[in-house]
Amino acid sequence: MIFAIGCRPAPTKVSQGPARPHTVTIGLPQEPDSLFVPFKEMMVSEEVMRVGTYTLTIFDEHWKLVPWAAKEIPTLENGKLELYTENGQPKMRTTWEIRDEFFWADGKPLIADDFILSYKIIKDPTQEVIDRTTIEKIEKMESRGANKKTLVVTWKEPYAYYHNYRNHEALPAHIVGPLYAAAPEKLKKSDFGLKPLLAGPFTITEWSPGEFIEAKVNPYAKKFLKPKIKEVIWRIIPQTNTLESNLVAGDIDAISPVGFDIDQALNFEKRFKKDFNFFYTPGLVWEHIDFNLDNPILKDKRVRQALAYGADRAGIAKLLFAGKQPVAHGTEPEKSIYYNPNIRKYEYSKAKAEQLLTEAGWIRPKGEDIREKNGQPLKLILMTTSGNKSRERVEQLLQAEWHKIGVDIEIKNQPAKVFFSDTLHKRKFQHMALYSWVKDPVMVSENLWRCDNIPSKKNGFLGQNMPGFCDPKADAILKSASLELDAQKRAKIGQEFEALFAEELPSLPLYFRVEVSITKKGLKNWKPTGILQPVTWNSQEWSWDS
Amino acid sequence: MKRLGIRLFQMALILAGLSVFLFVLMLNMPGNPVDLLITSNPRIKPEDVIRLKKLKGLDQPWYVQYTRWMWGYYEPTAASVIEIGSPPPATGLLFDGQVSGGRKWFVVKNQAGLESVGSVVIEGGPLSRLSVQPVPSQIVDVPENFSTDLSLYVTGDTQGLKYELLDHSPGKIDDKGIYTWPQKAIGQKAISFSVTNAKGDKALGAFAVEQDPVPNYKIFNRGFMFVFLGDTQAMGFSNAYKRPIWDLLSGRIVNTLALMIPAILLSLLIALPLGIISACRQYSWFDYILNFLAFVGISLPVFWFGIMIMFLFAEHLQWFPAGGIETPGIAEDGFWAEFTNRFSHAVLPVCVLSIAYVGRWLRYMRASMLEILPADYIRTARAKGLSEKIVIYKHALRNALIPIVTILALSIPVLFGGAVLTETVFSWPGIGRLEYDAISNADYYLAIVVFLISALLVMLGNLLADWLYILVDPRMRNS
Repeated sequence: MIFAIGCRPAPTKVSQGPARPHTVTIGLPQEPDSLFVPFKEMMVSEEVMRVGTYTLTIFDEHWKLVPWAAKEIPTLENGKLELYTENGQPKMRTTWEIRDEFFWADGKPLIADDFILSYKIIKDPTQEVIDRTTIEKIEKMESRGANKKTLVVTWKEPYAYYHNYRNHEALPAHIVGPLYAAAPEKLKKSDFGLKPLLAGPFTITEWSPGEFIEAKVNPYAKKFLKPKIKEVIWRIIPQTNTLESNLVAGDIDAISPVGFDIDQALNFEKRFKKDFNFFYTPGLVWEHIDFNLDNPILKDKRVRQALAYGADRAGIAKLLFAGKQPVAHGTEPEKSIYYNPNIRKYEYSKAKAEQLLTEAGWIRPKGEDIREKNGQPLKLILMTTSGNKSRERVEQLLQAEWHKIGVDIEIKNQPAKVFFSDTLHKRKFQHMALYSWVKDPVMVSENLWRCDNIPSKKNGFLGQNMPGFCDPKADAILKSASLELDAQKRAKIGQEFEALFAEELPSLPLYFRVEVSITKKGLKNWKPTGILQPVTWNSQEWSWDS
Repeated sequence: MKRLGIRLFQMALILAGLSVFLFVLMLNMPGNPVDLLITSNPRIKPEDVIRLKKLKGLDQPWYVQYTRWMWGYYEPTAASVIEIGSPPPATGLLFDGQVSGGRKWFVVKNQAGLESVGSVVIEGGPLSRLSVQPVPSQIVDVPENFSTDLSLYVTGDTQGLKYELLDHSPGKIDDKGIYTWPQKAIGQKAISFSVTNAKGDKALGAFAVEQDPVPNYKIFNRGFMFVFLGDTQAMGFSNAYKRPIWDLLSGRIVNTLALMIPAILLSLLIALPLGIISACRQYSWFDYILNFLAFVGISLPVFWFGIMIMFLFAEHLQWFPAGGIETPGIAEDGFWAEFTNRFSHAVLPVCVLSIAYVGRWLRYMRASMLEILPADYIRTARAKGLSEKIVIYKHALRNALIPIVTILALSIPVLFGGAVLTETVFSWPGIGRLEYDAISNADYYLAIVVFLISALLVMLGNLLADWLYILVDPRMRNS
């Protein structure tokens, strides 16, 4: 019987309609690390927490920042963004008005103090908060107005990303404040993180580890925040096959975009194209190969460019990802404001690749496949995370293509943990490392390319400039970006860096990963964004076809 | 008894050694949780990496980290500062005053004994003719002669005031409201007092006095050793799940047992009778078919088999749910609804596990019976004219069960480890999956605790097997 299923026809019926009335049940392959605002790091945690919206701004589906818990975004034009000098130092002040529709699920209004508390906790060096980038740029935060609905932020210097998503996150000060005051060292371990009170359309009511997380309607959600369904449930299902079975059996209504692979989705789509909605959302996960620029072979720009010309990235994307993952030419996708369409593009050309290698002194001896220079064969080691099927297949295709231009590639993969924590972190990869960065739609990722961010023994291997790229011109461009308040001008700066990057090619851009999610047909307003802001951003709009 | 003592002592030694070994192994496992952050978050800064390593104690050598984990360590604690206007915290409340003059005072004490005060304005609360305004907290350099005039903060009808210190407060207060700080008090103390006027109106007030510098107060964080003294919280805290390890374990162990006990009972119930029949009819068609099926059962990869079973019964036929332990929210529908729901969730994983066990037990039982059947005493029993039923069940089976009982005891640890794959496929939140997740999330302490429990179970299983062997085999008792 079991063996007979191997050649089965497609299953007879697929359960439609919600798994539970007035509820959206989402299958999640990972467990959140925390549901406590300043301590959560994982994308999964962000997806769960986002149903209880607690940020001043939000990205819409076009990656444009729009006000959320705030009435408007401060700008120079509306006077809520002020530039001034104090003791000869340029400074900045932003004033946010908090909307009246927002209430914590216990009925208390969302106030400026709620944002100030999370700022205090993040600033406290004894708290295990990881990312303090924004907070360090803030001088102080103040609560103003009779009902404390005005938040005034004073910045140490002009900061272009003052309005970014998640810059200011709220915690219920009337609950967490006393906990923090009584025992700061126990804050992270307090029960609040297991069942946090939220101020959006929903609030978390139960987290049963390894099983599920449940969010119910916030009874005080007003007007546009009032959700159309009653509950959101995440079931934690680590095995992707099991996730699929659950969807087909109707036990879950959607598969979360977090952690679902495009390979699996394409296969699943072959079987159930008609039964479910499939979402392939191009995002900001940048797959690329870092060149180790300390290596004498790769130090030569011509070799790097030759490798770019010799790799048919468009062909690979078409073959492996059904053309759904766009090829990357720079570090920014088309939807980004920093995207520059006029940069040097390395369209596949075997002839150009061979010419560049010959110019660089790598000659193919008669009757040999592999090029040589001073008797040394052109052999490069390509590394990535083992077990990641799509990366391994990309590697194999690249190996075959580069062989055609006379480059011998040795594939040497490692488990993700070893690869990320040791090989990459300590720049132990000899030649090339294939992996990805998740980028921010608003920020220019200066940490990845600045000279002072090259990990080395001297700085205790801190920093994220893994290729070891150091260019004073690039440094100057990158540093100016975060100081430029005018979005148009900043976009120009980002585009300028893109052009420089494409010319120097410290990394070979491959493609931008798409975020994949699947839902039942009847679920409406499921709008994945492809960026760090999770699919739950508009959960108040989710509904079922009646 | 003496031998049991020696065995237990040996076990303790092995466990202690193992804990060191596991600890070092875990620490050196690639994928330090902080290092991984650098390559996963493009915004993290070098100084934050250093700060986090220090906070987590990862900057210490392994033996320091081990001692901290095993025995415990002193953690400095800060004096809590509560702002006037904040509501009283949920824990550590030493004094929760009544509302007087539209304000409620409270005093909080932390674990190290440091105290702090706060107050909230209660809107709409009873307004009395007498009230105490916020007294600024005092920092006292030389505590000897410090005094402060509290009458400055008392407002309202102040005719004929009488002051009284509340019982937990050190120091003295006179009739004029002059408070004097006692010589010996150190650290941070909260002083609360009541004031009464001639008309009998009463108001409460509080303020904090701090000796500067505040001595370095520390709290002892108990290490793993204290688990043996009954402190379950000493097991530690899971970084990945953000809750005490004990809370995680207890639930997970129950879940695993709920899966394993039915699976083992079911498989024994099927395997033992079939094994006996198979042995009695050796080389019959029945025997051949059973053996074939047993081998199929043993060699089926649980992972693949689980997926196939789920595909057929959950996805295709939709008779049973596709994994999980229960439908979220079912608990609200009452005990029986939850019970039947859990039951239907357990059917598939229990069957998958049972099928793997049935094959194994059937082979053991058959082999054991085959060894006994040709024995002289069986022939004697038959010669005595006993019925075949009595020969098989009374004479042969009893002896054949001896090795089975031992094997059963030895497979207790399998209860915990063996179900990892089934638990993963059926997203069953058991101990096997917990261990797997702990390792993949670099949740060191949780992983070590689960490993130690498995090790303990292996040893207990061995001990039990030996003891059972003595119990069921009279020959062993004399040796």
